[in-house]
Amino acid sequence: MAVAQVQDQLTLTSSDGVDITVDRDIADRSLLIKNMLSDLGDPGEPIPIPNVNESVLKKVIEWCTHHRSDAPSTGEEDDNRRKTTDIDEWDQKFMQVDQEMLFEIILAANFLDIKALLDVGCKTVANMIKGKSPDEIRKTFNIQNDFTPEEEDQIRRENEWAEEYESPP
Amino acid sequence: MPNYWNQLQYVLIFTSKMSQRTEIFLPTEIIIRIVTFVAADGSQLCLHACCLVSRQWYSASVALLYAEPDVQHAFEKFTATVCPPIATSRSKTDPGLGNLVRILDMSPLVHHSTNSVTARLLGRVKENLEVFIAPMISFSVNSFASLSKCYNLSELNLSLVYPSLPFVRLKKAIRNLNKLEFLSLPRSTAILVERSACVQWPPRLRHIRFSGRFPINSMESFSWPEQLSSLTLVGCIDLSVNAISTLICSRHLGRQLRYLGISYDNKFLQPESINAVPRFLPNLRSLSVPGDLLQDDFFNNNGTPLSLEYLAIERATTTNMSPLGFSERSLISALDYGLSNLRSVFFDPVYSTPSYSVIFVSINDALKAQWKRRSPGEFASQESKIGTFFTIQSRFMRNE
Repeated sequence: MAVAQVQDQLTLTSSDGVDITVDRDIADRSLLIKNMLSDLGDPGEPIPIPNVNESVLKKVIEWCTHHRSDAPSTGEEDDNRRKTTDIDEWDQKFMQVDQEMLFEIILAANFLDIKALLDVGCKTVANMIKGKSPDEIRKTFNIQNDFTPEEEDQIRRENEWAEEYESPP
Repeated sequence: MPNYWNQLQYVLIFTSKMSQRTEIFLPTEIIIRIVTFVAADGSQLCLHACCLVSRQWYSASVALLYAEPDVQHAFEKFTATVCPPIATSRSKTDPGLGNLVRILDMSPLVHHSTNSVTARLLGRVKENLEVFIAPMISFSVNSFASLSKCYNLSELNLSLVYPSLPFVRLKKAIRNLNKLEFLSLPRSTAILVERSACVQWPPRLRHIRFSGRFPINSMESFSWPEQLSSLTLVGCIDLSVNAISTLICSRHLGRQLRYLGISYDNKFLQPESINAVPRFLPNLRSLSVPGDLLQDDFFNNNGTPLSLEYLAIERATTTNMSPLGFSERSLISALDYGLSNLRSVFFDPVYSTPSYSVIFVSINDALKAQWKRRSPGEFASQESKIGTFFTIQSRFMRNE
């Protein structure tokens, strides 16, 4: 049955209008697409992926292709996996992209409902945060500081206890 | 009908507006996901930094920073934030950060707190507190009023508490904690059987870590929690055979109890104390006992087969006797009748030296052979759980 499915192909259209053809089982890594196809049937025409551009969609498909034979996630059982920030080697390499692309992949994984990819992306960001000051985090991820100086000062004072903390050996 | 297409169209409009910004906007739910990974590494300092990034990041991070605070290095600063002294304006901007605390472990604190500070702190974190580990000193009846309102508490650990707490008043304080499942009593506990009988236990209490002293002549009529299935005895003043018999002879326990742990850390334990257990508690599935007190008699005098499936051998009570009181032969021969339900034997890591390897291996082989012969199907599916293992007692108890 798996062999028969491999023949099955779909075309996805990126937000910038590029058609990309993928095997059905690869597209099925996206729960959004999988559920849509099982609800509506194969539309027989390209499926628009309106908020993912070509370069991001290609990255996502690259990831899905590498992970095409992973067990599908059921949603519940990956609670344990979420507790660690370990990332397998291939995924680490895959995520070595600039910050914009990293966020775009995360957003695409969220939109397309590819939980494992979303987790890899979030773990990558979490690992990049480690050991950084608030200012360094803002710079790394291009985030605007929208606190007033008073607010920032108050939060710093309230949470001062957390600074005196010895990390576990 | 095509819900998806509507959704896609909506996103299209939404994103075309977003794309005018250079900063890529992550929805708060995704930032929460990221920060949850940061929290999973136990990095409090990192969470602190996340709170200071932006308003959105603050809203995603602050609950995680306060969920399980490590307070031992800056306890005063922590209390100043969570429960400022009443004198300093309980201001309009009191952020109620205490409501975010879910696990409060005060066990590393010794002289940091006082009875009244602990009571006040507990009052501020009571809303969502799930686990509370009391400090050694500075926990007293002062805290009972706050404690009685920790309605989300599932685990209350008073095992370190040194000052004595009146048992009846403690029971009154916790009786309405409908989610409480785990209770560790202080070593200073003194059970009053009759006076405590009229106070209900919390309805879902199923595990007690029992310590202190109890009256030998009336303990048999002690009323145990309805749902109690797991009992650990540690730090008891007297567990000689007579004393332990009155403790565990209740018919309710006999029906209900599935796990019993007897720590090496009890006074007047004797091999007969251990031998008495199966007589009173035939429905036990798991039993954990000190290795030196588990002797051949335990395996010899079993008539009808016990329900026992898991046996854990803890470290010995003294160092001047042999750490293991039984021979592997008597355990293995008991597999044919008294212990025919036994699946696994867990050894404390202190037994992981070469001198015990013969015992370890031969019991392992006997268990596997027994199950393979008796029920091949079950053996095939459960093989990794049948045999001998090393594990620490507390983990054994938790898995139960």
